Amino acid sequence: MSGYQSAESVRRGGGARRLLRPPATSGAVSGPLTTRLVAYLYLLPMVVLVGIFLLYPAASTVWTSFTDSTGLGGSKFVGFDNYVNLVKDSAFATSFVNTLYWVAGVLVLQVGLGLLMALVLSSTALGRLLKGVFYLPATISAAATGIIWFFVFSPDQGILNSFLRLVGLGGLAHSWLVADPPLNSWAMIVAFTWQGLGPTMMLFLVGLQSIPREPIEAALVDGATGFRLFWHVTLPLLRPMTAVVVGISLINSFKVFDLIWVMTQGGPYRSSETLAVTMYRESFVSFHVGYGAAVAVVLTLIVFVVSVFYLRAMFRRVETY
Amino acid sequence: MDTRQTRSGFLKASGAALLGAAGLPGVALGTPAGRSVAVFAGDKTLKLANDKVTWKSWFNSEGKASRAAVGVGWQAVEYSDTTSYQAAIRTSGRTSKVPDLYSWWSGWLMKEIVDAGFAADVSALWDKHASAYSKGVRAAFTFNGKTYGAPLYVGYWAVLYNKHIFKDQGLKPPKTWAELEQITAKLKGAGITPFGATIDGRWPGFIYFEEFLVRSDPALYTRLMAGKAKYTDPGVVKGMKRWGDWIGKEYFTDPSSVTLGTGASNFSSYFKQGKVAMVQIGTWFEPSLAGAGLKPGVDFGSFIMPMINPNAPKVVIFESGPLVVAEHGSNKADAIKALDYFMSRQGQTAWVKATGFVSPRSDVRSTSPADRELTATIQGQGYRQLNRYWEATPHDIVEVAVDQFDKFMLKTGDPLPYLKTIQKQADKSWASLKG
Repeated sequence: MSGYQSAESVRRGGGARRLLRPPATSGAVSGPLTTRLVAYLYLLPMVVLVGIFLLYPAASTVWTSFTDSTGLGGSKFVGFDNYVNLVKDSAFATSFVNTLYWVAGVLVLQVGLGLLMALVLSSTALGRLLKGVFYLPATISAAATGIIWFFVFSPDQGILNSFLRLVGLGGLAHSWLVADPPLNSWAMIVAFTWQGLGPTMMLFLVGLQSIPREPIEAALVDGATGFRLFWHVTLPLLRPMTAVVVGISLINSFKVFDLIWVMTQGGPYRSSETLAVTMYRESFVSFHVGYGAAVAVVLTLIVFVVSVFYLRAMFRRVETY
Repeated sequence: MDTRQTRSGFLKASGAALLGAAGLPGVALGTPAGRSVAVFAGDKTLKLANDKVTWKSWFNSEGKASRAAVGVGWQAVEYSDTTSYQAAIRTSGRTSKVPDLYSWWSGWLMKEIVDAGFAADVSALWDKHASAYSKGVRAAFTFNGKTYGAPLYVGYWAVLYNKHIFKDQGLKPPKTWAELEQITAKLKGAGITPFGATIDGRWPGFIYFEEFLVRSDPALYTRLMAGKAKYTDPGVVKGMKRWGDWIGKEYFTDPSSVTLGTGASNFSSYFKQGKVAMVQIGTWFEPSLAGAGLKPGVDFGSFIMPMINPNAPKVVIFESGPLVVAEHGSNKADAIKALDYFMSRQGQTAWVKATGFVSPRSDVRSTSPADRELTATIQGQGYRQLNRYWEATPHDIVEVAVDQFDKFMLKTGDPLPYLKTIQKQADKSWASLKG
């Protein structure tokens, strides 16, 4: 099914059902034996690659999570000890809460602002130029973003504190990345939003452009304008794209690592770690590889479960719509 | 060493060999990939991995000197991030892909790689150079009767002070704790922050904890490092309270806004500008100050912090990191030959000349007047040398402790909750080590 057909199906309503359930194939794998073998041969490279680079490491990680591995060999099976210790570990609890901050922050700021900007730019003459400008941060690496924002938030010479002092609000100047957790997490969420806003905005712009004119015009004729038009007509019609944007943002916020590592390394005193950072730190800083693997398994399970429930719920709504 | 030869590399080497055969002096030819090509029969360039990015030129000049002297040299392979570096060595340590030589840390971190069989036994080299190295230094690298690696650096921990500030304020290096307290009070009164402190990079959190403890009860520090005392013992709590008292009096820089590295907020620039008068740090920090345009002996000097308890024996903290030969490296014999050169008088003279470090060899003088003065004080006044906190106690405990010390520096108050958290980890770590 081509992308064009998919978009058309969505526009006609009920197309998502077809998106989720691909049309019956012509029986590529149910023909004569040689035909089937050829089909499997085509699949083989991908199966081997997925097996080597995804399934084997995943299975190995799950196994490691049941050991006391330090990465230096000689590990022994410890059952569920690592998982029991996770529950008791206050650093893991902080990390878990921070991950929730990230998920909430990214959903509200990145998705919310992305939608708002898409709405504004789609009705502005300068939209074409501005969307390029707003997309620019997405073209630089997360590490570079981290460094830029590290200097923005720097307590003594940072742009933010300097600006606050300049406008007579020196009292608000702060050690943004160090003092008063979870403020440091929120500061980094702002940096992450700055970088991720462009792609989110672009996806919403594409979504807005693919909305059919008829229901909008009908609503206008019926007297719907402004927020009512947006809330009752535009937003429901944007739902397929919103599902995609929220899904991507959700997963990205769970696995954010590089930006945090560059800006705070999860500190001070592990106050800004997320699950991904905790996983890395336990595995490669403290060399509690077994324990780090347990964090990885928990993180994967959370992302998997949340993603499945979210996508099911969203596509059920889309199908209903 | 990467033994694969590119075609251009082969041609260059052949050309150089022909030049050599014709009696012409050989020249070192570099490849774009950074691999040096052997230009004389038997010359080899090994890989020396490390996480000391700013030392690259020093490593390479010493590697060249080694190649010229014994036919085996090295080139530095840099890792800008310590964590990634440790992970790289740990994951490659049991394979032939491991770098031939690599820098590491002494103490418990070294014990881990020795126990894992990653480090080559170089006891024979230590026997050969025994007369020039103290038994104490060798002991820091000896495990179960075998010695691994050679000291890449030996650093004493002392107070580096800005001589101009001291002169302007009419101050002299203190002989007693009371004098040090008078100095800090006077500096603070003059609007100068007495001591530099930071939590940048996490690890510096232990510096003043260690110092306040060893100055009051060095025996307690030694017992604490060996798991024979508790972090909640009254002596440790008292040391923390004394430290907290100084933090409360703002005798330290804001630990969240000063770094030891580069950038506008780095300590060296504040020190140079006269905003901060002193810092307790390893002598390896001197090249950073020199890099900021400060001359040792002229712009800054050093002294060992006086004992809080005058009846306790005088102690100084030292640290030493080894240069390790990889047990499973593909050029182990050559790496041992290169390490032999590094340990030699010739090798140490070249190394000290390049770095300005203190040499562990008794017959090689430091090039820094500040270091020479410090070494003379330590030897002349019979200071006992204690291993630095980072290396002296199991790393599981250190990792938890530095976070707690960082937290204490930011949220100073009752030290007991912080110490209890560290002790909880200490109980766990010592139990697992004894079990």
